[in-house]
Amino acid sequence: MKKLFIFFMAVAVSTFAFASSETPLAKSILKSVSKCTVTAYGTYHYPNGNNVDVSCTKSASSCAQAQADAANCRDLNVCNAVRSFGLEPSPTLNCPKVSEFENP
Amino acid sequence: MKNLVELLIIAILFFFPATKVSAFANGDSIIKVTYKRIYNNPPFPESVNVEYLIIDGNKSFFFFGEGKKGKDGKISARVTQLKDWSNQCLYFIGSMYPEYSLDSYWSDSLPAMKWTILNQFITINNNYCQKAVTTFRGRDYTAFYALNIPIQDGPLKFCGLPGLIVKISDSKEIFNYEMSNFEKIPNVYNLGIGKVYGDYNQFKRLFKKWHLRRLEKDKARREADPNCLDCGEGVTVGYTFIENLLD
Repeated sequence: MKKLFIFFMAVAVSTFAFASSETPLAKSILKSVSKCTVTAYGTYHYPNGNNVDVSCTKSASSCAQAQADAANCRDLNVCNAVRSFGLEPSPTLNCPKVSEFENP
Repeated sequence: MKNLVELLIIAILFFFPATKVSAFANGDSIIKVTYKRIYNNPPFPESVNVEYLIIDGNKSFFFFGEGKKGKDGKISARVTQLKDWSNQCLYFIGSMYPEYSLDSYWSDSLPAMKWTILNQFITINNNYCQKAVTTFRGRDYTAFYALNIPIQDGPLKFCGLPGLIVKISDSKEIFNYEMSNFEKIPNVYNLGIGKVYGDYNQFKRLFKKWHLRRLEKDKARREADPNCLDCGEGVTVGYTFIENLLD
């Protein structure tokens, strides 16, 4: 008898809102694409009206790990977007220090 | 006598646009217009911000956030657009870090767009509005301006209509602004801008170079480490410009 184990994992949709005293709102969501592959979306609104849209698709052996990687990737890119405008990201973003970020 | 009355009415109508701001804000009072900004670009998450337009005499200041209260009790904020009607000039923020800091500004025409006013009317938040359309630097916009608020202003660089812009969206409805409050208040603001480095054409030329350098840097990081968490495979960083700065 052929044994088949199918695991369905639903990845929770999360929403994060980031803001700092110097930055407009940036929001992100996580969306499940397929098993253990997760895409995290983020957008950052520059003060001049322009936007940076970030999409990070990550796969891992566990969905929890894929979700964490995707969210981390998205957050790092939002940090980069904030800094590219000369702003210091909010502590809630948990951005790496500039030296670590520029020389990963 | 009848002719005199007619003449007076014509004179009032003729001079009314010239008094667009001062008729509403004078002395120590200002006009504070609150806009809700909705950025809607699926699949990216919708973001909603509150932004303000402060009209003080012949100048108006557009900015986001609540600002910071100084020791003198006045509120300061990072202005993103300043419209100075006294010299028909607009100034906008244009950081290109690190060469140009966040306090770098550039000048532009005032108004910077040409409108077509349509014979369509709608009431928005108790304001009787007329429709107008324009094409501005790569996007088509539809605006509704309040016939009962003869202030030729609006969010961002938008202005030049016979009334205050109450609502404006581009044709893809990615960028949306809608007025949520209009009030006359005492002037509690201390607003200004930093150094002006050049005009829009100079900004655009420099921005394009700066942006290309940014893309090249991202590419170099990807090539150096294909497994890089925030720049490797599966990672896309897109830029949605409200004005077409790259053509």
